[in-house]
Amino acid sequence: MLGLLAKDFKLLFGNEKSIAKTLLKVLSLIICLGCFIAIEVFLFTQILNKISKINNASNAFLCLFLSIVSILIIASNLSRSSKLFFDEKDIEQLSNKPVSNSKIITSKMIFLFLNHYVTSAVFVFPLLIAYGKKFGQSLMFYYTGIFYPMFSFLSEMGIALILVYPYYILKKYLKKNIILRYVLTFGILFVGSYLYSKILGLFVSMVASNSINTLFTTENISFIIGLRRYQFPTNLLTSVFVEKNKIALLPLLLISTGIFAFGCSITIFAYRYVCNFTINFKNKTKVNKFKVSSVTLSLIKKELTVLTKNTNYSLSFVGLLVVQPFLAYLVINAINTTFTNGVLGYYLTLFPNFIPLLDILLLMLFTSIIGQGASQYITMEKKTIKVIKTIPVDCKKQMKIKLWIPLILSFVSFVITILVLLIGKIITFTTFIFGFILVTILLVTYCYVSLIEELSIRHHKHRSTIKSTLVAYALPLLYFVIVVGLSYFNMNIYLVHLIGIVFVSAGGIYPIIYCIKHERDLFLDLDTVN
Amino acid sequence: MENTVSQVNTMISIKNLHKSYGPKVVLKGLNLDVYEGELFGFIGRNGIGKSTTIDCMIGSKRFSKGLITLSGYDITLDPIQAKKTFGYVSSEPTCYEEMTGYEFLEFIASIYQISEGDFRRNAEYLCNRLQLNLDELSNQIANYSHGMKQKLCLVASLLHSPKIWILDEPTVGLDIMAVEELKKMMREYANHGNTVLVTSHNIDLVAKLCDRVAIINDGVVASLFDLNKNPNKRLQLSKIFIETYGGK
Repeated sequence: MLGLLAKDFKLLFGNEKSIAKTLLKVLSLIICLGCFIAIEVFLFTQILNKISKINNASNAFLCLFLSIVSILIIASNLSRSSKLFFDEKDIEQLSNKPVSNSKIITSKMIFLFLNHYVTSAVFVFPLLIAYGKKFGQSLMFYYTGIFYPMFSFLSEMGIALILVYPYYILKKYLKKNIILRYVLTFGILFVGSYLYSKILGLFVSMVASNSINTLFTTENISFIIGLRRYQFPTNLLTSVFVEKNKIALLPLLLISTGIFAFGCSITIFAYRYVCNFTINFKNKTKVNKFKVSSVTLSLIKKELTVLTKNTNYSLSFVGLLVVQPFLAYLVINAINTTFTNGVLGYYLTLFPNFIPLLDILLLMLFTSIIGQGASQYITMEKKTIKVIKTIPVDCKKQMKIKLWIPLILSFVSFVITILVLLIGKIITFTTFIFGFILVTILLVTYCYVSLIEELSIRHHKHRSTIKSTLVAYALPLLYFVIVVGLSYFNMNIYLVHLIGIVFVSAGGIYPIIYCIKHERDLFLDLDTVN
Repeated sequence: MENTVSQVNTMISIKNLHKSYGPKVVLKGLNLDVYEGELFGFIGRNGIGKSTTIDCMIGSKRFSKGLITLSGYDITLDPIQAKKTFGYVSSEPTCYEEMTGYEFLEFIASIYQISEGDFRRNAEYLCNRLQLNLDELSNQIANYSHGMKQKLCLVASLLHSPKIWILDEPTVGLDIMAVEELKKMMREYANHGNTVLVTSHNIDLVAKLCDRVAIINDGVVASLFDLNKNPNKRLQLSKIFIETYGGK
């Protein structure tokens, strides 16, 4: 059993051989978790301070926070149980071991429970402690809190287990159906952007009115209190663990156990099925036409296929390309509003043209972030480096196509974005013209620097992203500091923009010339994997 | 070492090949000639430099010194023409997992600018020979088994009817039926006047199949045999192989 648990641990958390890398991973995880918990507790205590005097409001807000945590934990449980139960390699490895299915399933359940307890404790305990401290709860409150993750396991893991098999089937189906995958990706990105716009709107209204009170109107608080009745299982868990309502214990246990038992039954049945049968969705058989296209066209098609069909790029690059205009509009509009109102607006009168320069900086950063998603020109080839090195096509031509396909896509998305900003009157015509020139120079520079880094990948030597990160972030920030500094001394805005262009171009000339000069040698020195 | 004087064209010529990985010298002046119409076996211990030699030969790795020509074209000076003359299969399937099998073949056919008629004819013939179902070509390569991917790479390597067929451990992951068919195909391909160069750990396969065989050791060709002229060497190849590396 211990062996199975250790195997499951490696399956979920990897098996990093380097101690330094493991430490770095653990350290960054601790920092991220620490930041999340600090923000969570800070927000919660700030809210409690505002609403603690209103009847039922404190418990309703605790329930709301616990519900948000609960949703995140269900999502995490879903992803982890899917990996644990339906990893094909794991199933194959276990199939020839003398271990019974019931032992395998029990070990996975124990592992999921331990994982759930730790995750839940990390996120829930700080909230309970903050609540207990605020209302001077007894030691018994903290003691019973230790059992909260055990009870939440039944319902939260139960829901995850009910969903895990449909989730696995959906993932398999999406791998085959590229159109549905993109529809879903864009859907998620648009919903995410919409929710983000709502939060941004709240933030902007808070900044504009200089007060947090705009969020806590009687209407909003009544809504949160009313919402509590729909927040299963946290409404019952809050009743039992916070309000000490013993009557709620029975429905909590009955419903949670029922959900868990149902989830377990589905998962066990599905696991046994997947162990014995391969689930495969057949593509519609296309008629092979045996068409031959030109060399250039076939290379373009290859790049587009890898970019659009690889799930790693569909969200990070192609998805962001589509939502960039919408997202950039939201952010730039919100930031412009923030910086033109209240105290910030007053101080910024000292810096003429601060807002248009900031808008250009934001456009530069947006385009760099999106460009990063498709700058893995060589990394994405993996074993097929051998193909690109042995086909009878000049390496310069291959690299040109590799570089320009994502560059053109990023450029088109950027042009649409800047046009949307101009038409929406978020930026002026001058900002449009100079922003267009500056971002284009930055984008081309970034792509060339990334190509140099990619072509410098060698055996046992991963890509170093220092130079591209400097171009993507340090160069725009330095540009911003310089142009804002110049505008502080009331320099003519056209001159400021021209100096900005000269500065950014100066940063790009050397890497572009270097790449054009050395790309053949770098390509020939690329290592192939045998 | 035995030398074979042949009147036929030299299709692969390697002269004084040197290659190092940092301080580690792998090839120390390797010489090799492979002729038209022969099936040539290139064998050696693991990590001795077989794949490195092939990688240098196909233009996949740069070498520090030496000359390699394929069908008379220098791989360093005239890489495009040299690359047009060979088809290559590695031990690990190298194809784009995001593509369907058909898309990959279409990509290769377009790169080599084969006529549509030849593309159809060759693809159908080769898929049929290697028992690769044409309907399967509509599926994404990521869903293929290792053996199917390898068969697809074998088909892709011959799609443009190259004069030289280079196979680096081609039987890894193939089922016994496919291995037998591949052996037949290699023999037939050489018999049609083409050149086949194969590396393999399977000494038995090389001994039974090849016309000539070279054993690589210490960065050079240590032994070279014409198995047709010396049938007894064919039977003793395993023993010779072990003796080359100091074994008993």
